[in-house]
Amino acid sequence: MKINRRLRGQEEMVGFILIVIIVAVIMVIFLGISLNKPKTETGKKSEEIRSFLNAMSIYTTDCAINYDPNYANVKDLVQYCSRNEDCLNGENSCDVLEEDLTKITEISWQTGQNNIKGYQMSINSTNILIFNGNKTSQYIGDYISLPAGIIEFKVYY
Amino acid sequence: MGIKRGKNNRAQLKTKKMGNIKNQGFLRPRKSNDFLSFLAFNCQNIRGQLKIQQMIFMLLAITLFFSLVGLFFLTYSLGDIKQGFIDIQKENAQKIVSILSNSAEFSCSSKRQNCIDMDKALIMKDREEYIKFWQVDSIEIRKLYPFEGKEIECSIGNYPNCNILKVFQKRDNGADLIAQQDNYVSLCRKEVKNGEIYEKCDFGLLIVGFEENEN
Amino acid sequence: MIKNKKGIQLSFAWIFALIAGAVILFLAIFIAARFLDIGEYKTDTETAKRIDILLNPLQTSFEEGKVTKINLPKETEIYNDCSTSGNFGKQYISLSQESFNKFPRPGEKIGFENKYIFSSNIEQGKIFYIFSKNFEYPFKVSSVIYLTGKNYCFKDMPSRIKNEILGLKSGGSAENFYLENCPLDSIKVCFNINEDCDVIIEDKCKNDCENEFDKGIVRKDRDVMEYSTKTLMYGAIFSDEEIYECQTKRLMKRIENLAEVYYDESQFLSSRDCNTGMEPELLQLQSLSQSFDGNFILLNEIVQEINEKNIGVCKLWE
Repeated sequence: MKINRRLRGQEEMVGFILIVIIVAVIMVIFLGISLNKPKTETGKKSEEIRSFLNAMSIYTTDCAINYDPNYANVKDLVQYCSRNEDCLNGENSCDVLEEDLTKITEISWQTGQNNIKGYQMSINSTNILIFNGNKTSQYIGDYISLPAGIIEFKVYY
Repeated sequence: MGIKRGKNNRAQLKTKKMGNIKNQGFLRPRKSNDFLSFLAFNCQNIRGQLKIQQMIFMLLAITLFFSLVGLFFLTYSLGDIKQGFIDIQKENAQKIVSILSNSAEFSCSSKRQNCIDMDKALIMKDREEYIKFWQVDSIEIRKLYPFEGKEIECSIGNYPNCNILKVFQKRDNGADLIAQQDNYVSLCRKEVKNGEIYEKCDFGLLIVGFEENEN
Repeated sequence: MIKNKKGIQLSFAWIFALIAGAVILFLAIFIAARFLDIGEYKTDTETAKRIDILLNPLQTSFEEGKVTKINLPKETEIYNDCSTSGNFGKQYISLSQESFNKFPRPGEKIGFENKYIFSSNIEQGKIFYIFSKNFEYPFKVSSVIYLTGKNYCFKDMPSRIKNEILGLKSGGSAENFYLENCPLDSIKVCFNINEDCDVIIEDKCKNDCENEFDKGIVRKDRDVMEYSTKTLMYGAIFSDEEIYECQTKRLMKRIENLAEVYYDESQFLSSRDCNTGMEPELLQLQSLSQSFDGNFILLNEIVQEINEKNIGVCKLWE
């Protein structure tokens, strides 16, 4: 009996510590669950992508149509590419367009930097599809409407 | 004044357990040589002190526990507020960059967005009257494509065979800038070929430098 | 000596439960108070954010013709101050929100050199309407912002202006513009008619304008404000004479600087075989805008000449 009475305080201390530990463990588990919520696919428009598409559409290519130096910009070249026309120097307008768009997107959206996992650009009125990196469930995208088609661009994070 | 050890007296003030001076001589054990009795007697006497120690330990543990919880909560909420503040600053900075690229001093046309007249931008270089006008620390224009292979700063002498135009920089040492925001732009200029004048547009970046708390 | 040794012995579980319970109660009350919108700080932050809307997104050239409506939780006074000192002058905005039926001294003024807001010196209300237009004279100078909390009734407008007002109303936010069934407290704006109107606009075009009312005079009580372009016409309608004159002078300072930039660009392009032929006119524009005194006659002439010369591949602006 004496031993029991002596140990009662210690029993209470142990009980108290157990309660604290259980509560702490529950909180950590809850925190872990809330921080590791699976991210659902999101598609947000971005001002940055909008600026990129606007600026890119005015870029002057090396493809001259009709006469030199009547060089076409990307906007015009989409139109020529949809009609499969050739440049004055003999190159196919779609090849020139694809090459320029590939290089511009490569310079602007470097995979591996700024959490960029990949990107994709497509023009609906042509067969042009530019893809680099990996597709993920999270992306930011936008499109630009041109007289001869729509250029859609997505960046995957 | 004896101390009655009954149920009513079980819970006594924790600060006092000295009891009857006659019957309890904490520092002065009975003259009896019974060691066990002596121990039993002292154990009862020090029960209060044990209780005090237990209470102190328990209060310390509670304080520590709730301070950890509070610290954790504060860290989370402050981090959220700070991120929110940074997001607002970034959004404002993005708006200023967009306004700049469409302003009369840089824009090539009111009908085209994100288009900079490079001829005009070269003229705007280091104009002192504009240093405070934009409420920014620096404005720089970089040509991204086509790229010459190395970085060449623009001047009247080498234009347009260059790719970095530093329109102005408030600070003497550019490395002191705390925040930068950029925007993709097309860089258009008048070009002459075969006696004909045409507009040539490259692809570039407008970079604006801010002080941390200006926006 | 303690005579009465009765007391309460609490076990540690009880103590922990009491303390934890107190903390949880406190947290619950704290969170409830936050969500009940009691704090003044939240109101001020929302107001400041709404004024930020006023100051930023209307400055791009593609926001023209869009009306933004700002709803504030309390009756507010917006102070519009303007200064013409310095290279570009300065625009100041400050606010004061009603508290116990009084308006305390307005908060700190926020100053901008690159914004132009036409409004009364003090605009009061809970609802404000803001829209912007580009000011081109002859090149694009800047977007200007119009801020008003009052109702306006437009009468007998020319069709072009009517379409413009209808365009502003089509967005749904321009609830303060009336073409018919005008409220009694609305400000009556009349074009060339001298009825019982609060604001009278007189057309001064004599076959030298692209459209009627492109230049003229706005009369408000005893104030007479001369304008050129519809952008300044709206500015004169929605602002006090003092603010209108100050903002117009600031715009002229901007024109002066831009004319200098275009002059230098014109010379630079001439050296690269792209001649504009506008240098003398740009110099004259620079000089006239520097000495602007409210009279647009000479300026209108030089602007017209410049517009006629800005053609071809070497045009300096579009």
